[in-house]
This record gives sequence, structure tokens and C-alpha cells, in this order.
Amino acid sequence: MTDQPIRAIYYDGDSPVARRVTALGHGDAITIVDQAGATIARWDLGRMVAIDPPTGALPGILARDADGAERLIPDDTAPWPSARGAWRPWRRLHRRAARVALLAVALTVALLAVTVFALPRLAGAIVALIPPESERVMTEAMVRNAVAELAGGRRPAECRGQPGRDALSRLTGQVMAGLDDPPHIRLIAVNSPQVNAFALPGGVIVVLRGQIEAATSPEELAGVLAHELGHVVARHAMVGAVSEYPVALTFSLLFGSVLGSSAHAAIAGELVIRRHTRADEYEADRLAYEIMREVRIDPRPLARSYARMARQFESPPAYLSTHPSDAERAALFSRLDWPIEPLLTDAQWRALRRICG
Amino acid sequence: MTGGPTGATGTVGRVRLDPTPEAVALVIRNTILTLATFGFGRFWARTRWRRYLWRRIAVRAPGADHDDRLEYRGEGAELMLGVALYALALVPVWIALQLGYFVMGTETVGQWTRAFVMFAVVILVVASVSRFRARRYRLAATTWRGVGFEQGGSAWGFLRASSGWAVAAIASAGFLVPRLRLARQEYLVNHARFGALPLRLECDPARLDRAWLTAWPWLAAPLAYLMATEAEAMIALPFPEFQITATGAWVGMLALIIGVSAMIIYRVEEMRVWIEGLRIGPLRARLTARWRDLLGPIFGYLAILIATGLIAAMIWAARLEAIEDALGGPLADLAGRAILPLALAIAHMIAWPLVFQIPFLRRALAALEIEGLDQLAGAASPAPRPPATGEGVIENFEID
Repeated sequence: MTDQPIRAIYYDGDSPVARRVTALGHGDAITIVDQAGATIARWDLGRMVAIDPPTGALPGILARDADGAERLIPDDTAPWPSARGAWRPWRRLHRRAARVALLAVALTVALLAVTVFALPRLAGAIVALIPPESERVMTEAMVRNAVAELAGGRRPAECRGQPGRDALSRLTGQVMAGLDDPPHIRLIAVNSPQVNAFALPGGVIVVLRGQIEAATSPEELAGVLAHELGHVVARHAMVGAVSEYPVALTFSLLFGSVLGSSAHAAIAGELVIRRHTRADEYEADRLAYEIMREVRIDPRPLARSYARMARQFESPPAYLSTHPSDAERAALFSRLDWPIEPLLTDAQWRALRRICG
Repeated sequence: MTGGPTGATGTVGRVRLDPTPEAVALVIRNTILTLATFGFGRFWARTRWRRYLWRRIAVRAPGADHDDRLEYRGEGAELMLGVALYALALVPVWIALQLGYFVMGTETVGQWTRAFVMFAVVILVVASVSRFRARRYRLAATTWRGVGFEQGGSAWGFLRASSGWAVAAIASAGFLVPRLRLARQEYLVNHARFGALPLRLECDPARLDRAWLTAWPWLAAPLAYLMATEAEAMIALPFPEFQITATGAWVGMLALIIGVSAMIIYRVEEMRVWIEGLRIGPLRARLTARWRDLLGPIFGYLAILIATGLIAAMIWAARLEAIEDALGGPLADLAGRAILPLALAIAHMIAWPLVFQIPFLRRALAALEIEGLDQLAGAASPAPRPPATGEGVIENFEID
């Protein structure tokens, strides 16, 4: 039985020439006949696919098979398949992308695994190859800029009160005595009211004036210094610098674009970086604990300091935090107990607290 | 076949875009898909959009009773694989770059400048290779009248062909930018085929130079002023001791606005010269639109982006306390960093296809006249589709 002939445009897939044809359906095939009545192609209905259905005024596109370039564009724009129901069984082109998609997903998962889990470890090995002296030279300008930025135009940017500096050096020396192989460090007291201290690459520890003034005892400040010393020993700043850029790059490539949909890429990358940072903080706490036990620094002032901060500042959810929570750290350090030895005299402590004048 | 006036008369073929209201629904669906999948869905969204757009570009040969439409044969998964492969290749490059900074040092202005040059060279290489590969994939995924396009040559050949002009363009303070852009385009077009038919680009560079002469001074003059008065601050941007002055900042801002506008006007004229120089076998084209006819969609898109950015920033500033109360400090901090890029991303995802692409293509294609359609013939054998490894980076930099 032969179906009603359908007018169409035919492309042979070889030559960029459109040909006006008539398609005749019969049994399991259609015959494509040109205007002179010559048969120019015969398509097997079982292999024939619909690339695109008709949409509005647009005709649909039929292909001889899923791979080839031969095309038949019927004039009729009525929706599939009612107008040409007799031609079935053709099928809609099922985009054969499953294998490519699988490969893409596998590669993406592998890439994320490398970025999130392997790279921080690899970064540690890379940093171990860089001599600390080179690290100091490399990061000198960065430290200078950081100090200027933190001081925010206050003069002097670096606190230089000599009695205070002597006391700070003494306190630092006492803390460093807790290490078997103390690194070369540079301690900078910066004229800023913020309550903070941190380690920078190149063995630099920055203590802000606000942190010194907020400390209630030399032991509390020594605990802070021990924690930052832990970061220096583990070279966290350098490891972070090496491992964070690839995280940002990978997430930017996978999740979004620089101008377009990059907001979620930035957030995702940030969350991974914060997870790494939390791990670094735990390690620095552990090293601080070892130093304080070795030198017999009283851990309770540090515990009280964390407890005070826990009361003052709301802790973010764990996944957003760059640090373990203050309450958690307060609980940890308040449980510690060992014989203690005093660190500074009252006069030295007073001088230290006036280091910025 | 399909409705609509043909406009094809004499020996001239016409092209037109037939957008439908479905475009709005598709763009909204694509935007939601992209956001809901944290960006992964954008590969499929982009593919669906290209398939929609290609299919609605109709060429009507003179005397023909039907349209010949483009067909896009790419797949979302291919784009995703391309991005994953690129990320895999770029991560070691990025680590090497960071280590290079450390080894070379960045503590003095001289060292920082050297590090910046190293970064610029890496970006130039990555962008060039990506640009070539993206073109290769897009051409291979496009067919017309059942015949595919193919990009020959190589990414390194493309880089070699354009890097000399890139250096010359920088050395001439941008004066030779049209020659750089033409060299790139010539390499791509002259190595491409439509089936068995070679593509050629035969442009008169003097036409581009003349067009550029009306745009370049607007870019060069503020740059020259800034280099004369703020050279140190401009070169040593990250060093706080070299601060750009308020006048310099205003001139820079003005230069950016005027420069972008001048560049857009030049690019429209450049498009005309390129189109008129393009040969596909016996085919040649002419663009009858004036450049100012095509500017509306571009500036409309930019206006929407700027307005969105301003509105998002104003809402954030006005409601900051309420947001902090509702979300808490850290979440509000994160939201603060995300809200502007997110608002811009949504505006871009909606305005780019609907406000820029469709109106621009509609106007430009309607003004396109093609000669030689009746002489098309010849054997053709489409090549297998290459991987989409350039797409990811080009899309990520939004430079193509």
C-alpha cells in the first residue's frame, strides 16, 4: 500500500544543492523522487529519524539515519506524527551523547577530587621544595603592602616602642623555646585597633595593636603567638597560596564564567578554600598546644579569651567558617592542665601593652 | 515552504531570522536550569539555544520557493567534556604560573611588571588556542543544505599567524589592532571549508584602518594622558605607595566608557568589511545596513547590565541592616559578595539572547544580500566533529 505523496526539499548530504522532490511511503521504506520522476533515494523507515519536529510555521527535519547528513524537509508543517502517521515507524533522534556525557562527568568528578582533596597535599610537597629564605625574599613586598593596608594610614604603621619591642621579643623567644627546630621568624606589631593576629608567608607573624591591648595577660598573648607560630612551622600561608589559585580557577571553569554565571563558582570555590583553612587552623591549634605544654605556658587565659570571643561574636555555620568555633576552642584549652611558669614581669607586660605609644 | 516574505529578487539571495515567542520561554528555562545546577546546566542550555537560533536563520535563494535553514548538530555533553579537558590542562599551567611569580619575585615594580608580562603571555596563548578550537567546533557543528563546515589549520598555526601582530598592536598603542584582528580572521577563514568549497577572506585593510581612525583616538588620547601623568600608578597598580589621583581615576572611567563605545562602533563597521570580503566558493555577501542601525541592541544590552548592577547595589546598600538581621553576619557577608555578580549573571543570561542577539541578528541578517547561491554545486564530505575543547575557556572569558 502506498501513502499519499508528500512534497519536500531534499539535501543529499554531499552537495549544497536543494532539490524539490516528492516522497512516497510504501511498506517499510520511502522513495524520494525528483521532479523528472527519477528515484534519487530510498530510505529505510526503521533507520529514519526526526531531527527536529515542526514548530509553529517551521517544517520538521528528517534524516536518513542518525549519523548521515542526508535531509528531507517536508513542506507540511503540521505537528508530527499525525500528518504523516502512515510513515511510521520513524523515531525521534535520540541524541547519542551518553558516552560523551559519562566521560565528561567522570573527568569533572576526578578534577574536583584532585582540586579539593589531592591538591592541598601536593601543595605541601611543592612548598617543601622552596627554601624558607627564598620564601622570605619572594613575599617581602606582599608583607610591606599588608602592613601598610592594616595600619590604614596610621603613623607609624609598625609599632616601634623599644621597651615594648624588647618585651615582645622576650615573649616570642619564650614561646619559640617550645620548638626543637625553631624557624626564622619576623614579628611585626602593627598600629591597628583590630583584635587579630596572623601568619604571612616568609615566616612573618603580624600582631595588631588591638590584639595586644585586648590580651589580659602575657600568657594569653603567648597562646596567640604559639598558634601563629604553628602556622609558620606548617607553612600554611605558602601552601594556601599554591593550592587556592587552582581551586578558584577550576571552580570558575566548571561552574561559571568570568562575566556571566560566576557568582556560584566563586561561592563554591570559597567554601572549599574555607574547608582547607579550617583544617589548617586545627593543625595550628595542635602545634600551639604542644608548644605551650613544652614551655609550660598557662593555657587557661587563652581558653578565657576564646570564651570571651564566643560570647561577643556569633559563630557562623561550620561550613562558612574559616576557623573552628571559639566555643569549641575555649572548651578544648580549658581542659588542658600542666605545671605553669610565669612569662613576663609586670613591668615588661606594661611596656608591651604600650608598644604602639 | 515556510511563511513570510522572501525578499529574494534577481540574483540576490536574502537571509532572515524568524524568532518566535518561544525564545522567551527557552531563555527563562535556560536561566533557571543554569542557576539550579550551579552552572553545569549551561552546556545544555547553550546547545538548546544554538539549536533554536540556527534553525531560525533562513536563507532564501533567488527564485526559490523555500528557505534553506542552518542546522546545529552540537551536543551539551560535548561542551561539558571540552570544559573538563581544558580545566585538566590548565590547572598545572596555573600552578606553574603561580610558582613562576614566586621564583621571579613580585616585590618591586620591575619584578611585578615582569610577572604581569608572563601572565599576559600565558593568557594570550590560552586565549588564542581556545579561540581557534572554539571556532573549529562551532563550524563543525553547523550544517547548511546538509553540508557541514570544517575548520582546518591548527591552534599553533593560528597563534603564530597572530602573535606578531599582537606585539605590533601593543607596541603601536593599539593603532594596529585592526590588522591583528584581520590577521586572526584571515587565518581562520582561509583555513575553513564548506563541504569541498574553500572559504576566503579578501578584505581591503585600508577600509578597516579608516574605520579605526575614527575610534582609535578616543581610546589613545585618554590612555596617553594617563601614561603621561599617572604612569607609575598605572604600571604599579598593586603597590599602595603609587596611588592613582582622583583626576586620573575620572579620566580612566571616562576612557572606559568612550573607549567601549568607540570600539563597538568600530566592530560593527569591521563586521561589514569582513562580511563583504568573505567568499564561500562562488558566494559573496553585502551588508546594506548602516552601522547606526545595528547599535540599538548592543547599547540596550549594556544599559540593562549597568541598570541591574546599580539597582542591585542600591538595594543592597539600603537594606543592609535588615539583611544582616535576617541572615546573620557571615551569611550576609557571603550574600553581599554574591548578590551583584548573581544579579549581573541573571541579567546577562536573559538580556544577551533576547535584547542583544535576536534583535541584532534580525537587523543584520535582514540587511544581508548574498550573490552566487544559484552557482553552488560540487562534492562535499563532512568531516567528523572535533572535540569542543576551546569552548569552555572562550565562554569563560566571554571574549568571543
